[in-house]
Amino acid sequence: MTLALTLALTLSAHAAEVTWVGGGHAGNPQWSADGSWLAFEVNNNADKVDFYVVKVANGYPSAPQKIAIPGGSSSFTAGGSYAANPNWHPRGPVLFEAANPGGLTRLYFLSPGGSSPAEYLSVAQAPGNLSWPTISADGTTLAFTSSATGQGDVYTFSQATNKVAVTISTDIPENAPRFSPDGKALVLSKKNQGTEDLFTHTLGTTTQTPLKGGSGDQSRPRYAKSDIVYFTNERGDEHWDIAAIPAAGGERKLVAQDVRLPLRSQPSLTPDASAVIYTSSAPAKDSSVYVTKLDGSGTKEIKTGLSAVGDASIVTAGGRSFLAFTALPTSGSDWRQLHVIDVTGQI
Amino acid sequence: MTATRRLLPLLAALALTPLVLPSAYAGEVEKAEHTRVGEEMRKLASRNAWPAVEASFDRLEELEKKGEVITYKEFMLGAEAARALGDMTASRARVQRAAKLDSTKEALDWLADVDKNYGSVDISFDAKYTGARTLVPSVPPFAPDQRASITYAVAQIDAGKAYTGLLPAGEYTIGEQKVTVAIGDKVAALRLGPPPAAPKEPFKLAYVGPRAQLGVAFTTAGDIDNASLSADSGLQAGPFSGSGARLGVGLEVGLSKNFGVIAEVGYHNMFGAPTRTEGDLADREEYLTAGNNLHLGYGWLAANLRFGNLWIAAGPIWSAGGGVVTGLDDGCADGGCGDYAGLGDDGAPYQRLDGDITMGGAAASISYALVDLGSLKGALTVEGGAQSDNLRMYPWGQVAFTIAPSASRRKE
Repeated sequence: MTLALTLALTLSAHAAEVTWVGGGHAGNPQWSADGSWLAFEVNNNADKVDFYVVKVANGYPSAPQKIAIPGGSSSFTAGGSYAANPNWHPRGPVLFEAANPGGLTRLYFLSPGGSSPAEYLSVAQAPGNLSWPTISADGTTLAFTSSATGQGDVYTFSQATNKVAVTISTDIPENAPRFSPDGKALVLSKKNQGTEDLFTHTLGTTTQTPLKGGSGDQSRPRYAKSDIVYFTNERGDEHWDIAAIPAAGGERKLVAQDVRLPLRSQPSLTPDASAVIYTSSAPAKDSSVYVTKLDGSGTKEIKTGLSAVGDASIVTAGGRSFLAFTALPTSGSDWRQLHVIDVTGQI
Repeated sequence: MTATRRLLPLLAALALTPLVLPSAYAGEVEKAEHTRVGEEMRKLASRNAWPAVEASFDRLEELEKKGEVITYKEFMLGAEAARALGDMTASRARVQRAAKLDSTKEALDWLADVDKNYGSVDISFDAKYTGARTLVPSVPPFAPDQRASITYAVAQIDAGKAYTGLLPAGEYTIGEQKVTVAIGDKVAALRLGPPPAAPKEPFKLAYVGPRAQLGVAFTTAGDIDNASLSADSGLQAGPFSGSGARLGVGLEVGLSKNFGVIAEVGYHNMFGAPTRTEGDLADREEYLTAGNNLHLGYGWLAANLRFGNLWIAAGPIWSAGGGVVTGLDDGCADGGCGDYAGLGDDGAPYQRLDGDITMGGAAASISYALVDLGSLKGALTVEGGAQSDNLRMYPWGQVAFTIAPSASRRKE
């Protein structure tokens, strides 16, 4: 097993908790490329999901800023609003999907510390509910899914041409596209005969290449250098694993078993994409964050002293590495909190 | 009296009521409209219906002129609408007004964000500008507000208007012209003027070259008008005529392909038999009769119109020379020329006269070019003229071969 080499590390003394007013469960923390901002979601079990950004300096978060999309404070709205799934642009801003109650889910652009969020693409440019935004590594192309045809197709927006194009449109819904490191291909999942399978798509072509199917769902894929890592529950609905398969096709290998499935993100990677970061769904192991090398060379355990740890995300900036994750305290709180710890030298 | 006094204020108040109520009613209407529009704005904004939000904000600005006060949130919604529509100048102005009402971090961050990403530009066009009108950023931005602001400016310019306002910092081109928008207070100005006037070509003659002609001419000297004779006239020959040669050389200068000027000098002669109409005297051998001749030099200045191979020239001509003619003018024979009476009708036709002639008049020619001779052309010419020495007319005509420059321009 790839877990053969496991090093146990203890949570460093440098740990910080992000606090906000109003309670709710924190989820899906995502670092900006330079590590100076952290975006996360808060679900307060009141039929809405709020979106926050928080500035982080040397691992210390400041007061988070709740992001309201235009019209989000309307007295006419009923029910909850939704703002989630942050994806950072390599040069600073963040895109996320959001909807006012009863409205379409659209993509929004936020320059943290700047003006209020703005709808990224107008309905005229990209109709329907938009979701799963992902930005190419060079920051020039955005891919997302749209419900415009009712089938969840993949669209791309090119910064150079200022145009939106239908990239993948089939009779079955496409989900969770992610760019290859060179930006020339996408990996995505599709509902295929009742379960999700993985496909790759070379931009500029019209076909998708099946990558991994089989029993259970193969879900939320992403590139890790020449491999693709993804979540799979091929062992049964109660068992989510992380697997890796060469992007060019080949044998899949299990990287981690019985992981806590993140709220809505793909498997988390170290900044150099050499290892996956995850937490465990096993109660005995749910107080740690695990870092497993994709080459099978070993796993490191980062103990947090908290429980039900989830949604781990790491960034390296200025020579230091910081880990963000959500967790329940060992006692005394109903809400899942967001934590940031310095893990420099530990991954 | 007392009761009346007590009623007076009430009566006065009642009398004024119609004047007071309408203004109070108008304020309430505006306030209600403000509330309605404000709520509508928020509802529209939640649907990202920005053009409608903008229209609502315009309505709020109308209400503001009537005394309503636009709130912080309304200004911010108006700013979001203007931003979504690309009018960043209006957007920033609205945020600034919001910040004056409440200096929130949200408003101040927004202003700072605009100021660190945008600069001012003034793009205008001369009324005679006919070049490209498409504003193109060197690097299209990723941020939606920046893309929208460029689209907004592009639309303004495409519509033939100037654009003065904010644009994302960076380099832009319109046709060949570049403008660099920088953050800060400096306004980048670009004025597109009329297309540069084509450089005036220095005047160039369409053609220039030598002109020559050689032909045969028929020349006549008409009858003298006796009324013009006087004692000072001297002896004058009677009418005479004859044929001869006429040749000329000169220069033709084409001011355009179709118009030129000819300057020509030449020689024109005439040889003819004396006129002997009276049979009796003609047979009298004591009279020596000799032929008439005339030798003239001439100068001709003419304007020449060219219609392809057809050339039409006309202009003044001056001639001077001399000749010998047999036959005295009848008027002189009758004593009209002074003290030369007595020759009588019998002797007058046999008088031999020589003398000088100076005459002026006009000549015209029609030529048709027939052959190319390199840069010259050869043409057949029919020419005629009429000149006068103040006593009589000298009409003449000729047929000639003319060589003149070709009007076809040489390739540069």
